[in-house]
Amino acid sequence: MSNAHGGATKDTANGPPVRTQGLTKIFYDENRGEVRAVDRVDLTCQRGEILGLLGANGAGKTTTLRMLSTVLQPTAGRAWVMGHEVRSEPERVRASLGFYSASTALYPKITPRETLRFFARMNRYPSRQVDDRVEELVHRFKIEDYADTRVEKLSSGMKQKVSIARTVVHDPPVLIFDEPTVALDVLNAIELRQFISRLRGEGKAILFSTHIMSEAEQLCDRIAIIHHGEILATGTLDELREATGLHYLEEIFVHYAQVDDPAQAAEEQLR
Amino acid sequence: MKWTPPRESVPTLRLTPAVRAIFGLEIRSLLRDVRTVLISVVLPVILLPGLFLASNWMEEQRVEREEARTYRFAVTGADSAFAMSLIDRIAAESPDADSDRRFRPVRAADPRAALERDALDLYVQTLTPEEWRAVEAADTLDLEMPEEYEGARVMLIRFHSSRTASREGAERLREHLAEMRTERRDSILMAAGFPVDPQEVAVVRSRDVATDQAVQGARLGRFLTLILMGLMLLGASAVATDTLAGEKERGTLTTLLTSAASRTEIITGKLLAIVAVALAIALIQVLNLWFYLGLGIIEAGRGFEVTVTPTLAISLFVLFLPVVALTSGVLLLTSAHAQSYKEAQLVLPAVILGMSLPALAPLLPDLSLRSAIVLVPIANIAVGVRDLLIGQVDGPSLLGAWLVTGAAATWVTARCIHALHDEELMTGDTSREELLGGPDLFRKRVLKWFVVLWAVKVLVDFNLPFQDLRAAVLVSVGLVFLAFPLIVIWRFRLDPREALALRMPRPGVWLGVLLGAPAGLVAANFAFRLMDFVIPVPSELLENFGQVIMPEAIPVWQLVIFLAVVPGITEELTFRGVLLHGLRKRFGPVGLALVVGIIFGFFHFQIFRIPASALLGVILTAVTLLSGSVFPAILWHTLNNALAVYLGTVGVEFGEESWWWAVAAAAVLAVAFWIIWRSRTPYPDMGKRGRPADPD
Amino acid sequence: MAPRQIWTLYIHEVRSALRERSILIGSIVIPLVMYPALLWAGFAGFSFVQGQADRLTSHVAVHGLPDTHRALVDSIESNGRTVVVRWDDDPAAARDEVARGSLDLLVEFRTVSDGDRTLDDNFQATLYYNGAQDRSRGARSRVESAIESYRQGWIDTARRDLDIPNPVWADFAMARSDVATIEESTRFLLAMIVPFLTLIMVALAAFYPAIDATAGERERSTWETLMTLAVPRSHVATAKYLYVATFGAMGGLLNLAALTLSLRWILQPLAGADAQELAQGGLPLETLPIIALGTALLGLFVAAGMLVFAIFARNFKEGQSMITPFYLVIILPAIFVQSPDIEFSVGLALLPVVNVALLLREAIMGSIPLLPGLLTLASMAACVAVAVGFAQWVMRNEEVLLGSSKGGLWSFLKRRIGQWRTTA
Repeated sequence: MSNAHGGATKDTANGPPVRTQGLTKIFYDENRGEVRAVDRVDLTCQRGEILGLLGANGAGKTTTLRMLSTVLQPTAGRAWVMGHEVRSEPERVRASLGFYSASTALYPKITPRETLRFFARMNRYPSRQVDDRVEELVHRFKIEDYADTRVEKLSSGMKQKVSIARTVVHDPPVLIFDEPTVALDVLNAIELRQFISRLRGEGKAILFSTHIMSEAEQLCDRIAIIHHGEILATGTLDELREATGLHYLEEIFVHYAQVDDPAQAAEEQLR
Repeated sequence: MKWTPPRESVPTLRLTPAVRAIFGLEIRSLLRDVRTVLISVVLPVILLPGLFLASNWMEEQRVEREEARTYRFAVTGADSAFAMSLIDRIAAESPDADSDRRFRPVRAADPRAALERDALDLYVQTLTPEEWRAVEAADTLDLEMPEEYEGARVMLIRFHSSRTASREGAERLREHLAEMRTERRDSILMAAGFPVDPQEVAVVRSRDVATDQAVQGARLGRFLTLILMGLMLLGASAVATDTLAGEKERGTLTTLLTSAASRTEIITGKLLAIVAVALAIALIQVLNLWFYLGLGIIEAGRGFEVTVTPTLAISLFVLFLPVVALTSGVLLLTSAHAQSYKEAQLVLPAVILGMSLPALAPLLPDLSLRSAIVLVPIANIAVGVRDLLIGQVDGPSLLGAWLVTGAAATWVTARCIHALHDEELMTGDTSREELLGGPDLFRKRVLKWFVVLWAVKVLVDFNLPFQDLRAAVLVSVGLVFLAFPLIVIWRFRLDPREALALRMPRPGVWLGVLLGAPAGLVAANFAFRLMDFVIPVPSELLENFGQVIMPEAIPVWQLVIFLAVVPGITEELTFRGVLLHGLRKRFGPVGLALVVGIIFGFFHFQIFRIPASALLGVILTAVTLLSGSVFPAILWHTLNNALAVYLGTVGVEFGEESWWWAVAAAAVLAVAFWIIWRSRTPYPDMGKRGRPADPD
Repeated sequence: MAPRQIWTLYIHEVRSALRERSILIGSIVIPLVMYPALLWAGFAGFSFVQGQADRLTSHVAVHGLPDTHRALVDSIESNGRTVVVRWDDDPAAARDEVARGSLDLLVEFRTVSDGDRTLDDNFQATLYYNGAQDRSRGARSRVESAIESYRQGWIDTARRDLDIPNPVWADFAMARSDVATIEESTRFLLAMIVPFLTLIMVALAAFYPAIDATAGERERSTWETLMTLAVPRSHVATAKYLYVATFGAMGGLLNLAALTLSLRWILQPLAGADAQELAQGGLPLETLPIIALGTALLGLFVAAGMLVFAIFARNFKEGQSMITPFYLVIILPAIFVQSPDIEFSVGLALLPVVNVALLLREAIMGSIPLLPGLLTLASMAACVAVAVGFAQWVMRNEEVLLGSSKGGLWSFLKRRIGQWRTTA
């Protein structure tokens, strides 16, 4: 059984940990015909890099990330995670990534320790090392005090810590955070961002989607602006500033999305 | 780029670490959910013996009441002294001292009135033959008088069937009087010089050659599958609904789906957990009952005394495996298709009922495994289990049954895995169709609407208050099948022309229809005969088929209108109209013809009529698909029925023709279709469009 | 003012429920589809078996039949579905075949002659059948009656030979006459079915609304919105209570109506050929008010009971497992009321739920005993009052209102009793 670690060494030499090529998702709609939720998206994410996907609600961020995590099948185009193609090797892809979003909840009836052990096994972490890994994470995330209390009894902050530990339990080289701070309070959000920075320091390739400009400014090495399923621009904040001559990310976003009247655009989005 | 089906769609049983992890998680979650454990394990453990106790107690009470019951009776008429003496002798000759006062005479001036107001349980009216004839002419009675008694005096027992004491007393009295009469006759015979006691003439004794084990097995075998299914469903349904539907609700499903475990592993792990829980709960219940039985606290009826040898136990276990797998699979599938725990719970009762129905099969007497029943999952195993317990094993059939149910279980498991790939099902987004309604929603809902239509049609047919054929047809066919397309068109804002395929076909089609309709009728009749090989048709039905009930009073032209024209038009508008329209994008042409045909067949409720009607339905759908219009199908359908009516009134019976007729019919049918094909106008908008066109 | 607010809240609840697909499906569509589907499956199975049985011929072996009784074979074969073979070999082999199931029945004849009092060619027949096989048991009873009628014929010939005149021999004839009218028979059958079904249906119909009104609010997070309204909490509780009771009663009646539509076909196996006429009678009209009253009483009682349990639930699943025991507790006793012999006594009239079932039974049968009837009303009214009062008391509690209460009714009561002890 080749797990994430075995697979990673082979492929990283060949290219970036995450790469997509013309990735497209079309939902078929009887009335409107094809709805291109994601349209020919080309992305790369290097080791030790946080790539931010910045876009409004429904821009295609979640669909892109779901395709990368093989929950959805791409209609066209290809995507590789650690050299594994999402369509032909979905299990290997999932073994090499950790996925965190507001909708990835935890099982209520089991304890944090059991949760970590469960997901380590599910993600094909070498079984002999599972217990050591779990203890390491319990210590690192400081969840010792409640490691044996059922998840359903934990506070939301505690659950968040367990949830992050769950995401990295199999030490994946790629991490995907889909609007992770959406339901968090300020302190928890800050803590999460700090943790993500630390992961970058460990050489992980990180995809991070958000609609909060300040978050993207603060955290991301490169930013991809996505609107109506298309990537409109990719680059570091400085590159984007240079290209548009604007300073604030918010202005840059409005510039690229060619939204003259945000209120009207929001209205359109509802339809 | 070609859309490739998911690689992991064939269930394989491999106990990978991920499977074990999921299994462990499910079991652990269940055991920690105190309330669920209480409801699905502890409560039944307490309730089941309680039910046994209570029903035994009820039975004891009933017997006690029956034994203590006295029947108040009166005797009237000229011969009442004789009747009284007969009834007195019942008391005198009864070996049971307690029962000698069972029949208690009561004085009643007007016994009929007394009986009506429950002051009397029954009374005997003695009648001379003349009086009897008068009564017989005046009353509508439930009589049982063999001819040989013509001219004898009559004992008329009057009772009131809605009262237990009265019904029971009348029955007992009749038995006693019959015994009394036999005795009296025997003594008459003896007195006249009959050489032996008439009771010793042609004595019949019965001996059961079956072993006790086999008899007990036959009793137990009838219920075993049903009982075990019930116990399994009881426990497993809670786990099953919680597992996928509950995960969707709690949001853990995304977490699970983004882990490296394959969909097959996820389903395998969950299925194993459900199977384990089902088996465990069934075992607990069996042990529980056995414990109470062993202590003698409850007494079960006979049938629980079967000696279970290890071989028998292992065989039963092996036989039940596919049943357990199928049951668990269906529960899991239900769960996968529900968006929330609540939704799963709502459909669960219907699922459980539907699943238990086939387990009733061994209750049907004379059902042999070597018949069409071997093709019905669960029912076949249930019958096989009964045979096994009796000790009669039909090896090949049993193997067939096992394979059929096993295949069904595998298929259901594959559907579960498939459901995990279904993006709409997993993300749980409301589809646009739901939001907007209209024609697109109709395509989604068309089958559900037809299920409801089917139920309404059953209810209407069952409750038609008309004796007159014309009125009955007008309502059950004309009204139902006309109103339905109209309601659907109105509700989903469909374009009537499109929905009903009201287009003119090319002229050549008509020729094909005129040629094809008679051939189709012959072909459908042969389909009916063919069917007889698989599912034997009761002989009465076989005789009646082809002869529609033809009331003499109705002229032929009216029969043609009500039995041919009305159904021809309305049924076509419903089936080849809206049903075909709604399904057109879901299947290819062959699939459409089959599906629409079979659904049409099921609206002809008698199971024996279904295949022939379905064949007609397939033909009519094919005609509509080729001509792009509903009109040729209307003509064909009308001609078909009119021809059947005509043959019925003329008295021509189908069934005696040789098989050459079938060959000839098939040939003519082929020619007809060739003609229609030549002048075809394909049905618009057909085929598989559910998937996005490939941009590459 | 109060009734107005309650009314507004009540209408709000009912409207939301009617738009809730699951409630509609659960209380209307499923029963509508389920009964016909079940009936159809039953009839399909029945005619399938009939077809099978039609094709079935019983094989009966006959051993040692005296030649003078050859006619008996014709009598056995006369039903057309029995084939008789002569078995001249060892009867033990035939017995084995019966045991194996390849032969349905062995009839072994033995001529009898005891002493000087003999009848020419009298015989004893022993039927060897297989008790584990339906077809063998069937063959046995057919052959038994064939031999019996043969015996009757034989004796009849004998008595003619002995010159016993017809009138003497006939002695007396018997006839039975049922004075119950078809309407009364219908009532009798309905009285067995309807009360129990009404109870089940009411409880079933109140089940989901009760969860919807409590746990549903919490799941949708509308509970707090409701609590911030400028109405007294008791109004909210009353409106919810009325809503659940309405749905219980209405759902029960609707279900009952759907069922009555299929009634004739349910009655068929019970009543045989009379079913057609029976079902034409249907439910006697004058019983409808009583049924409505009974349903309403049940609805009010069941709703109060269910709300008390469901109020603690935070989600649907919890609600379901909290209500289920209550559901079982009210359903189970009613099973035993189905027996026609149980008298509607004063004692039973005090037992809630059971008494309503009995009241309905008596009403359908045509007469309601006055005292038990009044007692039923009184006892149900008292029960409803107690249940509603209890529900109000529970709902007044803050922790319950805010949903911070852990566990169900049981742990709540334990805590309250604990508190009460410490204060006392």
